[in-house]
Amino acid sequence: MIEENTITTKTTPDLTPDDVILRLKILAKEKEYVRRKLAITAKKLAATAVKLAITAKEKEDVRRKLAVTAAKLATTATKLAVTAEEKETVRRKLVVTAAKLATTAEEKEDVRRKLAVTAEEKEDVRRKLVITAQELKNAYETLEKKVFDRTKSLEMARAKEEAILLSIGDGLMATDEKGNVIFINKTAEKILNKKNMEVVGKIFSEVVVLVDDKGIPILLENHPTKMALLNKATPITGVPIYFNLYKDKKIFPVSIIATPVILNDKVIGTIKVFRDVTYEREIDKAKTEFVSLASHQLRTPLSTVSWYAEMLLTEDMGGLNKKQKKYLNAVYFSNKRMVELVNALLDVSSLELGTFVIEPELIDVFKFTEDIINEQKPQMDDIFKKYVKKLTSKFESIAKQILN
Amino acid sequence: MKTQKTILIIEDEKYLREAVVDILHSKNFIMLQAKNGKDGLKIALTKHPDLILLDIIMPEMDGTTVLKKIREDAWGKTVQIIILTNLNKTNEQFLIDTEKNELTQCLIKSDWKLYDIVKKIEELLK
Repeated sequence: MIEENTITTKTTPDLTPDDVILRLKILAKEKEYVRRKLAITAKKLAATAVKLAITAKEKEDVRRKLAVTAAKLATTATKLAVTAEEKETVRRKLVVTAAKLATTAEEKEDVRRKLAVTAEEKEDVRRKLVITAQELKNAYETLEKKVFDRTKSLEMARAKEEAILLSIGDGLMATDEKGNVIFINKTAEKILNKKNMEVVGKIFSEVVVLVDDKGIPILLENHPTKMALLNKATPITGVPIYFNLYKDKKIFPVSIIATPVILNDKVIGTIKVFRDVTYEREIDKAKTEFVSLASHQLRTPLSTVSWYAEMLLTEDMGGLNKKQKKYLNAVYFSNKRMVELVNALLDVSSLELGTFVIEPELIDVFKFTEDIINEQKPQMDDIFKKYVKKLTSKFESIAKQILN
Repeated sequence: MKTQKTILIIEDEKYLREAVVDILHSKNFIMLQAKNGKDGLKIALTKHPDLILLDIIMPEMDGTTVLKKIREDAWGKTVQIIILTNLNKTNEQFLIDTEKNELTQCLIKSDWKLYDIVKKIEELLK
């Protein structure tokens, strides 16, 4: 539109009337166009004005409402101010109370602290007491244990000794220096069939009655205990000493050893050990019987050979030639040697059993030695011959050396 | 020549018994024999021999019992008895029994020669 205006303004002074008419017509038309446009703009402005009027009304409304709200706020503010004041009062009061409380707490704390100190002291004392008590207890326990242990070991030692004495497999009897019984052990009780209590204080010869093979009591001076009282050694004899039991009249063999108990060179009592040797005696008997039997069994065939050889050698049953006689003699003497061997064997058995009997007899010493010499002569001759031969050859060699 | 003497041998060992019987037979004795103690005792008490040779260890009845029984008899009290044994001379009981009577001799067979025994018998029966 501005361009149109510009065009319109550029007028040229040499214009023809037609041109002016035309230009006027165009100008009119342009004016019409602007007028129409202005009308539209006016209309638009009117609409905006209306709209603005409405907005103003609405703003007024809001303003009014805001005023109401402001009034309400003012009221509330007043109320709040009052409340704040009240709160302040309360706060102040609270502060006072708090201060008061703080003071009390401090006091309490102080008391508590003091109490704590006291308690600690008390605890300390208590602890010390506990420790002391514990120490005392420990000491007491240690002492108690020591006493217990000592008592136990003493008791054990005593029990051991007693058990040893009581349970020895052999009978044991102790007497005082007068021969009165002090003690017998279990085995002795069993052997004698008497209780320790019954026999204590009694004289030994009443308690242990000794008899010989035939049941006759042995003399008192041969009683082992009596001998021990007199400080004599108990003889070791081959003759068995037997016991006679009162109660059941039983006799059985026992081996006895009685020894004096000596203190400061004085007999203050005796100890007697004895043992039932029935079993051993039975074995001995069996052994003796074996020897008898063996001698019989071994000798019988030897006797037979000996006797028959003898009969043949006497030639009662017919003559023998020289060779036959020689052979038979060999049989006879070899057999004789066998008899001697058996005899020697039996002698050994007898010695072992203690039943060896020596039978002294007179002998001709000259004949005895002569026999031995004769017996050894052949061997000696042999040795002599060899020796001479050796010597001769040696001598010859030496002689030869010298001669050379 | 005197009347023949009778000898009883009580011995369980056959060969020993026969040896004695043979040799004494040859010496002109009348021989009786028994192979155990029981038979021997019966023969002794019925036949009354002049001498008895007695073994000790035998079946049925042993020599010591035979000896005892013979000695209990009226005739037997005085009869000569020679104990021929092979038992060891140290057997106590045996010695006690044999030494009681002088009419009883005790010889150990294996130690004695047969001819020495014969001599002893001849001596005793003289």
